[in-house]
Amino acid sequence: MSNFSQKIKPALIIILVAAVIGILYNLVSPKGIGLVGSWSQQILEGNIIVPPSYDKTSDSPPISLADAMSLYNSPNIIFIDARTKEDYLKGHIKGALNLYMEEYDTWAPKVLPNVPKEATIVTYCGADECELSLFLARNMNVDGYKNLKIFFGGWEEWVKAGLPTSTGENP
Amino acid sequence: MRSVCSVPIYRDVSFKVEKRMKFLKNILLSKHLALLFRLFLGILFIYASVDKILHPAAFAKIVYNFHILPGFLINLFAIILPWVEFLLGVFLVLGIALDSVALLASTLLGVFIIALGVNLIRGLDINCGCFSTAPATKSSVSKRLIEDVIFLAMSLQVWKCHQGFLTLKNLFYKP
Repeated sequence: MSNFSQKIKPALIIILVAAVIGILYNLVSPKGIGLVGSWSQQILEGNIIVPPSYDKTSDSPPISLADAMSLYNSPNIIFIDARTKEDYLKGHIKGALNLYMEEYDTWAPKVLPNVPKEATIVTYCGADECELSLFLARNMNVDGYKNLKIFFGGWEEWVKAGLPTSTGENP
Repeated sequence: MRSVCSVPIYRDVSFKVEKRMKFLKNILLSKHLALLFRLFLGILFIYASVDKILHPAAFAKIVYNFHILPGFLINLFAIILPWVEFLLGVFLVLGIALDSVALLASTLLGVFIIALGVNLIRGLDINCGCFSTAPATKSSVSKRLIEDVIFLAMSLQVWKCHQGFLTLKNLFYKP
């Protein structure tokens, strides 16, 4: 047993040294981060839950389920599902197109030619844990789409509310 | 350490099989293989740490995506862990305090395996931090899980069987 504790001591020293180097390097590095970050979800006006990485000042506005429902029935609206093809095929908001965010560069040239720049776009993904909808909106904003909204409640809220869905390749 | 690396072969198997098994055992538990594993794991740990050290914010996001640590520990963990990996890698390659270093490496890999396993069961996509049932996601997590189990086996082999072979300590002080 004492042999075992003899092995643990240097291991603890390594962790301690790593902690000192890490914290010092982080202080000096221009890319350093705060020792304690804000990693809790933010709750905005209208009780909309957004992920920690959402930036109120620069990101597209988030919408609630009620907003999404009323937009869904208005003309010139396109919903875009940012999840994988597998998830989309299993079930998506009826009428939504699929543009898998993680492979934006290969999907965008196939999907976006059918999406007019002046249309109102609602991006969504799994649920408020998910950031694919946020990143999709950021990318589309760079690609010239200015009327973007993010429905963070996503697929989960939509299904729970019993709203129109579709499965398979059909939008 | 000796006892594990010199398990007696059962007497009731035929001589030929016994010889082959002994040969296989000698290779699997040899200090030469331990050296090979040590260098491989060392370089792997250094390689894995560099990207995390250079991009702490991105790594913190990955730690957050695992949904295991409480929020206030995420950044601290993301700042310290890459340096633990870096030091482990350097010490593994040079062969400094190998008993402790291999033990720490094994513990770390064990923790990674548990973290990945928990999220595989929960169905959490650690790439985007969202829950997904897509098979593509599941297979990428299980692939990483299998890799880590192999690395853990290597690390345990180093821990048990290195015998101080070609370590910095033994180069300078002949035992």
